[in-house]
Amino acid sequence: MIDLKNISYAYPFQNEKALNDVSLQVHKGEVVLLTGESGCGKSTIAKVTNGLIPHYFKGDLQGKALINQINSSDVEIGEISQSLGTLFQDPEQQFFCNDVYSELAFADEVRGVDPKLIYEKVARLSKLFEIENVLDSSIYELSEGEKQKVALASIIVLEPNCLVLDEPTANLSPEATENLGKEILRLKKDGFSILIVDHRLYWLSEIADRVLVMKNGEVVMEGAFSILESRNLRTKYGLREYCVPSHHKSNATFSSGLEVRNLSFGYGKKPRIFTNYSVSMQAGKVTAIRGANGVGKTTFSRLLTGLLKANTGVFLLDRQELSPNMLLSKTSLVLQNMDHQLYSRTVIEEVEGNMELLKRLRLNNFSQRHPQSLSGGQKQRLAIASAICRNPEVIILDEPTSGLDGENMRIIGDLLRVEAEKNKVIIVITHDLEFIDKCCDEQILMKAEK
Amino acid sequence: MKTKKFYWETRELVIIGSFAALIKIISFLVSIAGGGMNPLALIAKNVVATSLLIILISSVRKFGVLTLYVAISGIIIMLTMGRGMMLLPGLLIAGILCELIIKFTGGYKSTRAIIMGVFFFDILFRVISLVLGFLFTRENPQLMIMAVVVVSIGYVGCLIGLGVGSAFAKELKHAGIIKV
Amino acid sequence: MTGMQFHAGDNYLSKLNTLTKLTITLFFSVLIVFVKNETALFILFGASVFYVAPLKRWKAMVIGYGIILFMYLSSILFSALLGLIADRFGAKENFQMLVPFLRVSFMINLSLALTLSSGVRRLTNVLKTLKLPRFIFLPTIVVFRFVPSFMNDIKQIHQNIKLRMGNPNLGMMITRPRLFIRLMIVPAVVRALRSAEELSVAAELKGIDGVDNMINSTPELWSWRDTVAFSLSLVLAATVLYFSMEAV
Repeated sequence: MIDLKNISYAYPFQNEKALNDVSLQVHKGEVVLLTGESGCGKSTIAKVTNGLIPHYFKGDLQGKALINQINSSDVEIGEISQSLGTLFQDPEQQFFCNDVYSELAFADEVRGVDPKLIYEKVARLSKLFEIENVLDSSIYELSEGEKQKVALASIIVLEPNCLVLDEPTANLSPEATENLGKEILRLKKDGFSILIVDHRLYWLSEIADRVLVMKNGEVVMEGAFSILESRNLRTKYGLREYCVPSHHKSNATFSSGLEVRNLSFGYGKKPRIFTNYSVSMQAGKVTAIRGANGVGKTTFSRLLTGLLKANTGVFLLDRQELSPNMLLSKTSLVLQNMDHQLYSRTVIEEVEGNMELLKRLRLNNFSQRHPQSLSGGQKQRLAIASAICRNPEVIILDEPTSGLDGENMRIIGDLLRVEAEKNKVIIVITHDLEFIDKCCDEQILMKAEK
Repeated sequence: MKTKKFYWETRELVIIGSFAALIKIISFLVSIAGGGMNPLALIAKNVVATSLLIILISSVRKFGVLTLYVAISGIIIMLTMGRGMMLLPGLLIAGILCELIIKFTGGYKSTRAIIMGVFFFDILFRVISLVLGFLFTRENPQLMIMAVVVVSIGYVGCLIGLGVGSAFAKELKHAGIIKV
Repeated sequence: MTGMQFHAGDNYLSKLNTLTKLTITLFFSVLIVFVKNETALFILFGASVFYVAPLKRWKAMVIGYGIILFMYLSSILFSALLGLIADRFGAKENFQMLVPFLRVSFMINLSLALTLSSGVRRLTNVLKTLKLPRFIFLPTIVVFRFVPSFMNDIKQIHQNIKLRMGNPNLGMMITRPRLFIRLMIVPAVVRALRSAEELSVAAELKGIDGVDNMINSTPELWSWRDTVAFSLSLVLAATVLYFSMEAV
């Protein structure tokens, strides 16, 4: 079981405590959800639980983190992972090898386990997690859902009985999220103690036994999942919705905006991703594009911005045909990973001095900070602001809400609405049903070509 | 808490390995984007390589980081260009000497000492490689003169890189990405 | 066995012992320094193309050779210009283009074969059996692990530069050097440092510090293929040395 006793912690060179006297327990066969707004300290709890604090991240730690009654400060990280496994937000982050079999076998090989036993374990787990057919694939060839399964299997291979999952669904489609939920239920039945740290709440309604809400480094609320039904509570602590509506929006009206006609495209000699695909996106509206992982959404965004050239097809903006180079100058694309896009020395420089915009995004207090020193949600807001600054006619966002709390999601939603009202075309590629429901007017559902 | 077993933490070794690869990749890309081996691209390439080296040392700040980096990039050069055998001795000698320079001019906490160290490293390993190249392969003297000219042009880039690199290192520290 | 499908690959390159591939690569990286004869280098290059062929990375190989050729052509042009400026340097007949080009292309082929057919786990195992100290083998493994994932970062950084400035070129470096350097270097360094952080966390969680006990769960036995590969390498080395001697 996981037992945190009076944990307080401050990161190196920081005066403010990231955690203040937090105690929590996760019993055998129990799933506990830890939630709260961005920066509330929930990811820090995950790091204390799996021993990265204090072994990897130094700083000032008080209190005890007991995993199966053993204080995690007293044993090495490699040893902790035999009783407690960690699943990170981006599974690629925890892969050390570059093919699936190796990823599953590596940790046991390092420990000198009998090869026959390793082989048997990998065989059993790959069957259990339905990844047998990708065992000899490179990790770069896997879909997000498969990556998540491989990551989970590579943790379970060490036979821990506790798990920490840090925002495990941020990159997953609704279908893959549902599958992960099933895996968790099975592990719970097998007696695992499972701590889930997440913003997304809805997928856990049938899974979590208890919920802890954090704010400013403290646990402020604890109870059954049903406490999240209170709108007041959710607003007060910056949380997301506890359930997601199932109705989907259509893409009905079109008078002016961006049109794609008879688009065909494929990478090299690989099968075509699009064949004679036609679609239109209305100016003045926020249009969501969703679809299963690997269906071609990201490729589509690269085609719309002129980064990729279509084999055939016509792009029209307000009925005027555009070449790839013209597309490049009229569109703006916000990529998924913020590390690639923010390059200025200060936040204000990144938006070319537009203080008004920073105010709208509530970043004005950070104008002199370095963009890379901001939190995830702040960086996402800034990257969108920087794209808006260039005053494009079309703005495309690739998964803007992965890992955003309720408050950040609302701010971004409002900003997109304001831009749309200037008669721009706003396109959002997303898995996030809650975001689509709250912030988008129309929806395009992409399906794989047969 | 258990005491540290190794002189090098895993994190530090991973950073050194990553940067050995990063510096090779980025300077190669800059050369391509700059239109191959012309003086400007040569300078740009060395600006980038030297500034990344300063960032590496500023992120690891431990005696031996330069030498270890040099050893690993020697292995990379050997495996990709088949020249490592000729370069490695010069690189290693220069690495160790400059490590001592850093140590005795203010230590790894001092940015000025790091800049000094890299300044001498860039000269030393070039001189040693040129001399070794001359002795070892008995190249045509005219080609040697050419090589000296090319290397000197490149060194201008290194000098610029010293300034750019230390500015970047400062900025990354400000951004909280370099933590030591 | 248990119906598991894992196999390293169907071609002979994947079936070769990792140690064999590593030894061949290191052996030739030393040998090649002494080879200056064009015919000999052509033979080596031709053999290496056969060696790397099962990977079927033709496009990448051709692009790679193209880039290397371009680099050497431009360096010749540069040297020629230098020669014109000071004509006493004008030793044009001595410019060797083919030699360095073939040398580098040959080594690239060998390293491609090694890295693309082996992977981090097998390489770690081999480097462990060689008893290399931790501070050498860990960074070396990281190089192999870092390059493929960083390629993805490069792609994204390139896209971002294109979105902001257009295709990267020399003109951009001259007219807007600051913006260009920032757009390229800041994200590259930030990504490199962050992914180094992630990778070392991954390594620690896998228990890399206890690597001294490491075993290989898919042991690589010595097969006739390895014997053939070694014999062919020796024959090749002898041939090449013969040509080099003759040239002297």
